[in-house]
Amino acid sequence: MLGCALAAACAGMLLAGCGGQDAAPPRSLPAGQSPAPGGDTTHDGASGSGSGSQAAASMPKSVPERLSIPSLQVSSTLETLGQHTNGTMETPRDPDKAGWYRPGPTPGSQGPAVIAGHVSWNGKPSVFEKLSSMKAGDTIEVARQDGKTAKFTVDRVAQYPKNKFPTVEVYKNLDHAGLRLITCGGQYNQGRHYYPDNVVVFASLTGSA
Amino acid sequence: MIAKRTSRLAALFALPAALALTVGASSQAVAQGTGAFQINLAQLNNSGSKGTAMLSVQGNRLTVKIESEGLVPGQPSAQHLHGSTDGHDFHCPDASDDTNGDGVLDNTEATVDYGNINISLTTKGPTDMMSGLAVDRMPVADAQGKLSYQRTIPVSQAVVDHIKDLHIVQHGIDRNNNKKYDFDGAGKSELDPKLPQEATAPTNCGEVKGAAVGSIPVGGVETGTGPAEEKGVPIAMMGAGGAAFVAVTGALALARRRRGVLAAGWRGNNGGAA
Repeated sequence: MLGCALAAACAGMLLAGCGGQDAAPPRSLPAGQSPAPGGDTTHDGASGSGSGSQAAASMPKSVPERLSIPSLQVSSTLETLGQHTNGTMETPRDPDKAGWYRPGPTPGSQGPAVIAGHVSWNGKPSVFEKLSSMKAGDTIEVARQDGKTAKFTVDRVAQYPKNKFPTVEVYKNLDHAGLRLITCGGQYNQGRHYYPDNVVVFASLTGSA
Repeated sequence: MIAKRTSRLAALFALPAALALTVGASSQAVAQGTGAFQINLAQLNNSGSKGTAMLSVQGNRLTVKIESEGLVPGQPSAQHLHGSTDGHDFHCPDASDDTNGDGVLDNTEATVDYGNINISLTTKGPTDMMSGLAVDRMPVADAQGKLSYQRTIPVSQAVVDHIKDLHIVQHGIDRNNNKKYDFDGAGKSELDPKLPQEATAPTNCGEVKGAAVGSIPVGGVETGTGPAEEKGVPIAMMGAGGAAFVAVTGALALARRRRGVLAAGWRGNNGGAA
């Protein structure tokens, strides 16, 4: 595990992205989670509810306003994220907030809704600091502009090198309402202020209120 | 692998300079907007193969990502975008298209339904129709029969405008289950008797549909590299040799493609895992 070797040398430059100059090392995935490249078998449209929960019917489109993860004590209003001109996803400006990827579906609607957040920022834990500790069966709630709350249950958690990011697996169509939470992971590279991996939590809609 | 034959293939390809039209930067409009599409590849010829492809259109650049399984391990899988961009409604074939009733849906029979090659989804170099059987530049399935492919290529405006009329087809089956393309499996290819039918018969096909994600992000969620740094994820990947790409639309005569393009006695290398 990395120590915070740069604590004293922190130049204070705010780097966009999960890392910052002096980031807390991310938690590795629990031993039971298999972060094999390619993740799980592709559920080509299958309901993919690894936790055994019942899939709920998709909801109409409505902009998400707040994300809650009770098991991590995370509660965050949401920025909206687009794409940079080079096509990569934008990341939240506020490290304490997660962001919803606006070109994707709204959480609760059919398809792969995506919410991304930083794991750490300039040495301090950020909103998704503990995301990699989530496990199948955990719940996630997204409160929407229409007053309804979409409730998701985690199917699986996986970790991938960023340079082998499984775009198809994460963004492909689904026959149900899905949610992907994304943050950084892997062994933090202090020289380059960079986490080499992404952690992705795959979840499915199991209820609404 | 097929090194010996590669040079023969190259020699046979009439393609290069004569046909190459430069789709240069000048013809690429500033990004007119993006589009995202998905293709679900379903098996043909009872191959058991399936997969998912996603297409991203930005201006005149098309990014193709394919994840498929059930292909012949260690063998190159010719793959293409088939169809017409002039409004003709082609679609994926089914078993009823086996008009000669020999139990194999071959490429010629299937072309009646899915149309001619529009773009060859090679791993490098030209992507035109003439590259249709450039197997030395086609992706190879790994030992588990899985295949991953990603490439960004410049395409014509006609392709951009009619992307939803196109389909992806991957080729290569293994009728006699011996993990290689050979004549014992399904005889000779109707495209060229020097090729096994197993190499050219289609293994799956899928039609372009909309993607729920309106725009597909490139790569991972970029972090830790500094604010607003365009961290060199190249949108355009020009071929290694700097070759110009050709996106040939419309139907070139299939006969022309067959002749002079195909290797003699090409046989996939059963030892060469991906």
